[in-house]
Amino acid sequence: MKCFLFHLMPYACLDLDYDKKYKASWVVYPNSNFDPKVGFELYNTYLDELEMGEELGFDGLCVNEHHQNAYGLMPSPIVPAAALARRTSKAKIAVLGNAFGLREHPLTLAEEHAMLDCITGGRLISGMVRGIGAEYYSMGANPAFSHERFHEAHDLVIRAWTDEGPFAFEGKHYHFEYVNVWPRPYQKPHPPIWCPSQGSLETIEWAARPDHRYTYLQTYSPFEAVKKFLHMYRDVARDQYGYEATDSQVGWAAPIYVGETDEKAMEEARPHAEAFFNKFLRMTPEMLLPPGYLSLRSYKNVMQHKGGLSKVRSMEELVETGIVVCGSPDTVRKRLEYCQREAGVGTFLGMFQIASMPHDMTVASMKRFAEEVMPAVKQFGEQESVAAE
Amino acid sequence: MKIFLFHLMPYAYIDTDYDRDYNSCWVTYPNSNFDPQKGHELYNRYLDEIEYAEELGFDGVCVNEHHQNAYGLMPSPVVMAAALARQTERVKIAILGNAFGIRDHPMTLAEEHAMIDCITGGRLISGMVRGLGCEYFSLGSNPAFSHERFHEAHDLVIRAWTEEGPFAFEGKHYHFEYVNTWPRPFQQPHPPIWVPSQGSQETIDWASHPDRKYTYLQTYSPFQNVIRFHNAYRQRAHDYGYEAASDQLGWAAPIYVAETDEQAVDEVRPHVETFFNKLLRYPPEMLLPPGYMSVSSYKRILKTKSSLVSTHTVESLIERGVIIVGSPETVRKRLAECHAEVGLGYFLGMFQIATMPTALARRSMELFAEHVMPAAMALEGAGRWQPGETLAETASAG
Repeated sequence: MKCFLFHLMPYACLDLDYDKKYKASWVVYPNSNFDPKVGFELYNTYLDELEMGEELGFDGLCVNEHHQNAYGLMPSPIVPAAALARRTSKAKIAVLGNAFGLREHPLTLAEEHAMLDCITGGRLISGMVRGIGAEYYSMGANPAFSHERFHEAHDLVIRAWTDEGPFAFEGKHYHFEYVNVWPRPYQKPHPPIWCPSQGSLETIEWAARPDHRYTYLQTYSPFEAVKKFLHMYRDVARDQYGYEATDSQVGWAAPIYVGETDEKAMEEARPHAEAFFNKFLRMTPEMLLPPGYLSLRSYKNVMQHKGGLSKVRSMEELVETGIVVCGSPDTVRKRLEYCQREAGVGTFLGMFQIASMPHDMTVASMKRFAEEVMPAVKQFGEQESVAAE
Repeated sequence: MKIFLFHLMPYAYIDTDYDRDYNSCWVTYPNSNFDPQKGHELYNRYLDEIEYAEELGFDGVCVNEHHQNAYGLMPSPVVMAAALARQTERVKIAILGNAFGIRDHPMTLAEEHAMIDCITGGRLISGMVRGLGCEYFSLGSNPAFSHERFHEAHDLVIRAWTEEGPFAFEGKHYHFEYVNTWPRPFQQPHPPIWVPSQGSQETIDWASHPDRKYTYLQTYSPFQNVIRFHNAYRQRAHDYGYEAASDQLGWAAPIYVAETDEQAVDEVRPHVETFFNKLLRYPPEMLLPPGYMSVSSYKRILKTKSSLVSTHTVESLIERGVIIVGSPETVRKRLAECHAEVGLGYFLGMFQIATMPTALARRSMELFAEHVMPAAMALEGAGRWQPGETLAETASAG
């Protein structure tokens, strides 16, 4: 199992009582609450943490796109990915992801990903997402076209990366007379595509297509849901498309904290993990899932698995349901071994810095993981594939 | 005078005979001619050169936006500015510029500039451009709305950077119900705005307005045009009722320094002639598509820049002051003359030119930094312009 370091770059000094006045730290929470001096420190601390991820031996570093909120200060993952491009030399850099279809000019992202891939000599992983519901408010986009535009933007971008330009593209949503992207990506035919999702059958059916075989990532979910969706991917690959999906086609992203002992880990991570789920992720249903954003079928599915996200979660519940991985190195190692065995996870994306968690604590947790957990975790799943050969 | 290093990141491996088959290395020149392995090498080489500028003592470094071409491999200057953000500590990082109005989502650029400004602790300069005519082909954008959208995108972005969100923005071209940019820029009220231009009275009128006082940069022009447009800016400021400061005026030019004048001319010749005759080659409708300029500006540009479509020699380029080439002494004197004429606040030197290999570019940078820059940085004064003097000339040119 590969280990990636995932970062959200939250506004760590969010006033946790903000919700007395505002219903979310997204979209409607005034940006006057953002202090640029604090932002300067946070960005640099977080980039230090990501760079340290490479030093500690993580296989990849992940950044992502969320607009107008205190939950994650990366409206453009391009900026931190570029900032990391020449500060790292081995680790994959995963943009997880960019909302290509949310924009009127997805080609600008195609250009930027190609630049990053060239600069890093092929270390880029291109995540493609629709963007969560809240982004549709921020970008003034119609959520009812979300799927259509996601697919059309994907087709345009893949063609821009692989077909010789100039060519014309006439879609339903996108019209360009001259598509001739300079530079082209470094990797052939293009960077690996990953699809982070909160659990959507449409996304799985699309990602698993034999001509795609894109890596599907389940994000922040009870482990039962992770298992269900990762198995669903394998079932779809086998039953609909007639091939066996490999471990590298499925991944899982979760907040993680490694303490000296189970007790210490729980107590240390508690305020931050609870703030993350109860405050930073707090959102009204219409903001998370605006009308038209999901098919009815998926809407029901998500509500069933994620309905609990809107209620107040305790640390115990988060760990018990497996949304959060927390404990001593020994506990975390065993837990990840179990999860790998149950769901065949190929890539584990650990979010070490959680909400308000200070730098020292984050680094201590990362180091414990890197020294006492990661060496074993990287072996999980490997023996079976060796045996199978 | 402050000294910045300007980079275009050209595709230095371009086949200079490409123009037998294609009328431009922009838009229609197939991207199969781009080799990603070479791109990898070039990007890192160029970023090394830019980072070296900080070491050599330059005040700032500049990146810019051009799409679908071999002339400059930066469709997104945001990528390069971000790559430099933590590799440098002191220099200003100038994005010269981003075409905010060419996109349907200028807010994404507002967000990116704010991020870079925060990461660098306020070292960002935000250039705003309409983008060359070519970019309108690449982005599928209507050049006839170019001015309107530039202004509206500017207004939206400035409000997003300075007003408390969320607020609604209802313009003619842009409609957003929730404008609430996280993060906000580090610099208050926002990063300095620079406006690179090839010489446009509309741009000068707008940039010099007392509400803005944005720095105007004249790019790649005979020095006579630098004088004309800088003086037009000072005159316009005077007409608005204030005197423009030197830091409101800048000039970007290719520059090459070698041990002697002869050596400099010989060494730079193939690269600078390739730059002007090959990389800057495009049919007029690509550079200036219908509607891109007002008729009066169109006329003036054709008059002052029409020579750009003819074949240039290094001698003619030096003579007209489009480029600065020579020994350290020659270049030092030339910059002092230019400064005495217009009193500009910023000189942006483009050291790497077209096909120029890194050894030449770096030696030129080193000679400049050691023998020219200290004197150039000490230049002060407002130039020879006097109120009223250029009115007639500006009017007749318009």
